[in-house]
Amino acid sequence: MPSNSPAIASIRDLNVHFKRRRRLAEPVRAVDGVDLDIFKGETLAIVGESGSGKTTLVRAIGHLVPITFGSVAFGGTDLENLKRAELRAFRRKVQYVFQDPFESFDRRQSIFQIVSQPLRVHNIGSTRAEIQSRVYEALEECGLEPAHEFAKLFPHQLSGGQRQRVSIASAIVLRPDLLIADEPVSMLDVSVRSEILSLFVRLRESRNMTLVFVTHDLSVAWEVADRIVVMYLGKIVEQGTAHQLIGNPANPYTHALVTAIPVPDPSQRGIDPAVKGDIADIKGIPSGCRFHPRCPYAIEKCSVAVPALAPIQAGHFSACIRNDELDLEPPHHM
Amino acid sequence: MSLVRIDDLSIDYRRAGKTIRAVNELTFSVEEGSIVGLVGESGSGKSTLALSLMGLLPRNGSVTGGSILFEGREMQGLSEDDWRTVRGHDMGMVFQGAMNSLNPVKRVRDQVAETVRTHEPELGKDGSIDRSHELLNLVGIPSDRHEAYPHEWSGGMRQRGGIALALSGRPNFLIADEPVTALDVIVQARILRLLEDLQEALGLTILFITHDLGVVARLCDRVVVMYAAQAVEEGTVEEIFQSPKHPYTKALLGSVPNFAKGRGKSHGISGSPPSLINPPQGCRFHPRCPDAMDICTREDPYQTTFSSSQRAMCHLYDRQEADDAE
Repeated sequence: MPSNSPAIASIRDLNVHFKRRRRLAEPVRAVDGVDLDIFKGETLAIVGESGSGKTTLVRAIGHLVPITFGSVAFGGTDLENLKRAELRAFRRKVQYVFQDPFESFDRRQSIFQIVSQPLRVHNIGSTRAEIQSRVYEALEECGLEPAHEFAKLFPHQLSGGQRQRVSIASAIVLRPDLLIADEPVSMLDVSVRSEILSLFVRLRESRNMTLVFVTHDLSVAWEVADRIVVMYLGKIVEQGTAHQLIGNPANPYTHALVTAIPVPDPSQRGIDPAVKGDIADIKGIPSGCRFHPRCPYAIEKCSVAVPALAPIQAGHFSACIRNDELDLEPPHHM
Repeated sequence: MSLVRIDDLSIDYRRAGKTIRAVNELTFSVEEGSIVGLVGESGSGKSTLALSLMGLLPRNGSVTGGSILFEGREMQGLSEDDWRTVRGHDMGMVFQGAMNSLNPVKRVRDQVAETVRTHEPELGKDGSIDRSHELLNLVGIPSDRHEAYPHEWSGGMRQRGGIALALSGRPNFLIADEPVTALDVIVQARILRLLEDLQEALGLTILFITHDLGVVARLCDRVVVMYAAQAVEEGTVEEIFQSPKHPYTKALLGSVPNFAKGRGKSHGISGSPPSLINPPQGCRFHPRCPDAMDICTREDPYQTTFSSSQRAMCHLYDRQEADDAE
């Protein structure tokens, strides 16, 4: 576990707010005061429902959305202070893979054109042979062999899983230090999913990258991640190792999430999470702890006091004012 | 007693002069009062089957063989008029985004009441509104939200509303096609509990179509596993999860992350589901099957029966059945 390795990215009091169309309306606080270190060489999963701010957070890490206040530093340098040329280099070091591989391709481009495009954008490779060898190498590493055959094909000739492999190849062809994958398997069939997940794990090792995985699915996070961060309405509510978080969730929200995941075992049917309602509409953020209106353990103070992330064990943090009193039963036998 | 009997059913689509067989020689039945899970990946034919049960196949699709019996009555060849009374009244359907088709500028209560009136015109305006409140209460919508507009409801409430609409004609058979797929896990768990409660309270029979084996384990009594337009295995939920026979069922179970099994223990299935335009010869799963033998590439597998409730289509068990017969 690389918690003693240096942070590749450091996020401090990050706030990303979006103005709303109606003037004078309160802005949407998509990310609201997040502190997070991403350590070199780790696989970190950021988990949350839609509206939790997880996608906005990772977009801010790649400098793709304007930061309202707070900071993101990459390799020790604040992104705001990067000069033009440095920003270009930074863009090469951080690459993204998105959910829908169907939409991100130009259907008239061959796989070779798709995967070589980032190289051209960044002026890498002076000869065609050089570009070709980088492209073939990336395709092979992503399991698209023989590479020279796949390079000639077009997106519609590939299966969903193969298309996702192409988008991974076009992300790693630049040899990034940080690969950010946003829901990369949620559109794929179950039988294809775990092959793509293990491809990510293999690539992180062979390419010596840091991997950030954004997902709504805790079981996907469990498969790939060293550490898991859980977000709710713009804030981190719990973070810890995968084992701490799944085996012994401390925050009532995480506990409900882990309890609610249906296990493929009919003898483990039926513990229902005691949580009420839906994710609150982010436009109207509840006072105090944002989860309190749905929380089965909420006390009066929860509607007033904003809980801070506090340590439970080494590396395990939960934002709940009742951390010390609640002793939630582990939801799964592990 | 079986409420629905599907016997040797085949459904074809015609597209650009080609015939695509979306459901091939499918046989299974749904016992009254049970919840049957129909599991498959994209292209397995599970949603086509659902549409055919409701008489809602698109124009280029048609049943080309076999039969569907509902309460003992043959559904093939029903007139559109007959279907209109069957749909909603005998069977209801819940699907993803079932409420997206509602009128955004009309209150939900009034729209549910309209649907009620199409089934029970004798209720009149006031009676149908009362019934609408009753249905919305039944699916757990707080009464102060009944008069909201569709967009004012959260995702979970909308799915509950979809269930209320499906129940508006008092059907005893409910087809649920991926009804919880787009919901977050907490809301999903509560909708599954609602379906269980409704099943018990109203004596419903439910066909639950999904790709999610975790949901099946949580909810269903029996399971039918489909692959490439065919049923490859069928059994009780315990049989399927504890002693699966077909290599596809085994592989599918192995590809689901399971907290109890530990990390990195799930394995995918190499390759991807086949094209139905040109399905593989012999057993359709053979190109991806870890146990494939020579015969699998040539001959269609036939069915082996393992218990009164479990059967699978796989050459691996040919020998065993022959031995058992001796």
